[in-house]
Amino acid sequence: MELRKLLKGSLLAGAFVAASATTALAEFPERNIEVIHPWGPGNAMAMSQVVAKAMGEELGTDMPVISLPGAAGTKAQTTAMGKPADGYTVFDGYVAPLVLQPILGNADWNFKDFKPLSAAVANAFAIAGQVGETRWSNFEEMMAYCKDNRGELRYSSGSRNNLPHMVIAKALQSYDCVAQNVPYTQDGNVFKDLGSKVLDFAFVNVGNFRSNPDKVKILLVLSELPSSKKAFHGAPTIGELGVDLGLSNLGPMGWTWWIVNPDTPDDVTEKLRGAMERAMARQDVKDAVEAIGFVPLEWDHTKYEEIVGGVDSQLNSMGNALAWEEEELKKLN
Amino acid sequence: MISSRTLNLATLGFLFAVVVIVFWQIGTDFQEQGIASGGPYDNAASYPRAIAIFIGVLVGLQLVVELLKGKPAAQAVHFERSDLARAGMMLVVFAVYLMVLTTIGYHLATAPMICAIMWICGMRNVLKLVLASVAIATGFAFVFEVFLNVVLPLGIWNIFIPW
Amino acid sequence: MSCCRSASGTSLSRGRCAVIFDFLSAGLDVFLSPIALGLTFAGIVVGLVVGAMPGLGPLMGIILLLPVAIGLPPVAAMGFLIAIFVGGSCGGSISAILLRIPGTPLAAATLYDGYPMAQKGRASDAIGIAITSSAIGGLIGGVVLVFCAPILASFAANFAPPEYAMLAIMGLFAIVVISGGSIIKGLLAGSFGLLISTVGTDSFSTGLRFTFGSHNLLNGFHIVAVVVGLFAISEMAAQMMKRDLLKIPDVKVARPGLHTITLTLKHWVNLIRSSAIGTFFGAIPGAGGVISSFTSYAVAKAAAKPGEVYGEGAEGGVVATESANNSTVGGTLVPTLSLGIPGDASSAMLLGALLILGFIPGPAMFENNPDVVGGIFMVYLASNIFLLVAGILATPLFVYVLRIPKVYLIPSILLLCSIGTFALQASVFDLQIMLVFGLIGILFRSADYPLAPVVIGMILGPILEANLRRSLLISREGYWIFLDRPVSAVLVSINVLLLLAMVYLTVQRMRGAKETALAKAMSAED
Repeated sequence: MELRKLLKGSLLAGAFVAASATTALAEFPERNIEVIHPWGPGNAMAMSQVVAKAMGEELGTDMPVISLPGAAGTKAQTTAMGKPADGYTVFDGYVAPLVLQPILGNADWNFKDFKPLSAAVANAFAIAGQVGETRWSNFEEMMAYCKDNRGELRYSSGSRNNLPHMVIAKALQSYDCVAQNVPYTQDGNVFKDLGSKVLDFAFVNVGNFRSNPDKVKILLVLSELPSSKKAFHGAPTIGELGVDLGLSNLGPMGWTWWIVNPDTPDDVTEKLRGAMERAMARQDVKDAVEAIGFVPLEWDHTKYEEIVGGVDSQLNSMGNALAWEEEELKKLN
Repeated sequence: MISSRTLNLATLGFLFAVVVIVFWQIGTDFQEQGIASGGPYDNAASYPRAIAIFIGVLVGLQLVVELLKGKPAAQAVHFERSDLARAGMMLVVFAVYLMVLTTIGYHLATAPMICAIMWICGMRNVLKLVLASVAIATGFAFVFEVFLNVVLPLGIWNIFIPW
Repeated sequence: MSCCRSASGTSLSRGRCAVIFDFLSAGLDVFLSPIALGLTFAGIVVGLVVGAMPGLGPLMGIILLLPVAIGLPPVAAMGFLIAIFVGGSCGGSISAILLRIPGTPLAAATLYDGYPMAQKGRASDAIGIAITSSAIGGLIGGVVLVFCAPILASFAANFAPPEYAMLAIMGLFAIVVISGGSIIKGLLAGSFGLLISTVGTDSFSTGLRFTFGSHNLLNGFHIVAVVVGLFAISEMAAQMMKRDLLKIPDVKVARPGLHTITLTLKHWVNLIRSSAIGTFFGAIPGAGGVISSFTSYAVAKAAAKPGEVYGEGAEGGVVATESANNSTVGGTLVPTLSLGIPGDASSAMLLGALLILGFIPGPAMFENNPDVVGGIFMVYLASNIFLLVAGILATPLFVYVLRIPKVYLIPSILLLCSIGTFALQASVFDLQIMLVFGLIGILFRSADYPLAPVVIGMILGPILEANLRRSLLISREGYWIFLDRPVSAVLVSINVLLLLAMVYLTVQRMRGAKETALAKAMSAED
């Protein structure tokens, strides 16, 4: 008697499961699409949630953003690559895990290993100094001071070996300036400690600068975009420097292209591309992206190789700046 | 059945093993990565090493306290074998559940796990077992998938409920 | 120093208090809309639920519901999210009290007295006190937020790595104070927590520590997976060993009511002190609610009256931890709103939401958008009042959990822990970590090692190590940096005094124990 009941129950459950499995074969997307984000909770994640929400609306589904920080974004990238290539996992492909970490030898993939959906956003950094600084009045004077006082200055690029660190190290190398990098895990704390004059100079992002423009002095904007120069109140940009750092376009900036597994079926990829392009073209999305201090990017997937390839070759050719800094710091100790 | 001294010694043994792992890793993996020495910028070993030494000292102290206490007369923890077995079986069922979750997915794995634990608890009414386990599994899935947009493990057969 | 002055100490033209009341009245107009009121209340309910569920907490609640919020009018959206933060910071205490499982790491210290209270048949009282303390603590944090935000923020902004390192050491001393039984066992558990927080990528050298080649360990163990494992899995195993699994528990549920407010207010000194500690730790970016609840508990225990036995169901223990972790919410909003620097991960998401809604936090927002600043103040204050109302009304529902037969409760909790932990990072690996820490929890509990110090150790570990190393990198004269900076030097001397006091107390305690043992032995001989 009991066995019969059990059988009946399992049959029912089986039918239920089969029914749901059949519906799974219906048109894409049939369920939520996950966006794997490589950083912890904060502005960048909120930004990705804006794009994901709009893209989800275009697709008629929800797109939850999952934060998987760790090892400069490589944990998220590795995790995302382990998911099935069915279009239900989208990677928030930031420059650090996508291009920089492979160059530094910390990852075994290449940006060409992925299918692009569309460019999403970029964010510009600047190098800022203390307010009321008496030792120098601009970036080049600071570099001259630094060259004469090797190892005396303290600066932070946020995390060690991230994109701002690489760009700053390249700038310092160009001026033969050796300064001690102090790693931080929270960008806000870098800004706070620069404001309270614990650090001599540091990278700052648009968001922190806009909240407290009086707390720091922008010395150099690490971007050539006019919008970035404006966001940092017209401070000089790397294009206006006396030396050529070999960085242009997206090279010195943080950015993300949304990408998927290369084995994702073409029809699914096309649907995702169309939805993302429509989402990125929406004015409400552009407004929200700009409000958070990022720059919306308008390149579609056809420009991926050209744009990202350009950044890849630029960063590749300056890859030794970080190693140079490490060597010089070791010599001082 | 199990004396508190055995449990205490087991815990000290575990903590000692942790200390050994720390030193072993610093001596091998940290060395290879070049992060076992240097200043605060490059030396990732000094802090875990300091804590491991501290733990080591405390383990030693606790061991002395344990041995000095003499043989505890009334401190044995009394559990029936059947009681321990239930807890052990629950852990085994749960471990198996976590192992198969990625492969067969939430919807196939969960109801049997709940059913098994209820069985271990002593429930023998098959109808109640089946109904309750399916209801609990589906109810939680509904709340998390519909209200919180969580994508539960689908397994290799991509099984999900299109709510 | 009165808070009704500007940050620079000069009196504003009309006085800061008048300006604040202008903010509040501007905010009141925006807040008194059905949608803002309704969503703030809804946020409290969502927060209580996500907080009470093991695994999810206020941060996950905010992350999961941020996409819903950003389509709403600004004050309603912020009301919804801030209320989730407030409700979620309190909700964890409910499962801690009823099930001996902290719903969030914030409630780990609430276990000490909340669960023993429930064991003594005072579950409703314990929950009522937790909710009332949370609400009042939150309101105290709110008053500080409203009146002192700029001053407190500029004070907190001067906390640099050396001060953080010294504060972290001070937090570690809490472990010794709260360890009721063996101090060595408490210290061992705390040090174990410090050690497991080193697993993952070292942010200084970028080297990998104790990852054993697993990419899943690149960011170390997720604190929630560890907490749920240690407490929930070990508790479920302990429950399985009981023999009343099929019975409907015969629990008499006392009617909760307004008398819990009176019960809480009796501890007014504790309430104010713990809220002050909580607000302070909240205002320092990166410190957070776990540290404040443990510290408040340690201080309350140290200052206990002779009749109060902490760790065995003292009301003061619940008052201390819960008022502290909710006032921390008000505290974290201080640097978030006035400097644009988030106090913790949850407020980092709130900051993101605020930016998306078109407002740039910082001094300029106070000038340009007084209605939004006032509205946020209002929703924060209101959400604490709503917390009190919703919490007291819903207590019978929560306590009803105790009447569910364990045969249903145990698998449900195991499942809830699994889904809640899985939802954090969509990771089955986190679930396996949860199980491993479950086994460690069983071992520790069976050998009478306290579990809560593992949590505080894990939270303090990264703060301590990173700020020690950061201080040494910044310093040009090695360890002298800790004495060169005035605030750090004060903290160093406090730490030295605390250390001496602890050594003295430990010796006293050991001598006391020896004498008791001797007396016992002698009486046995007699």
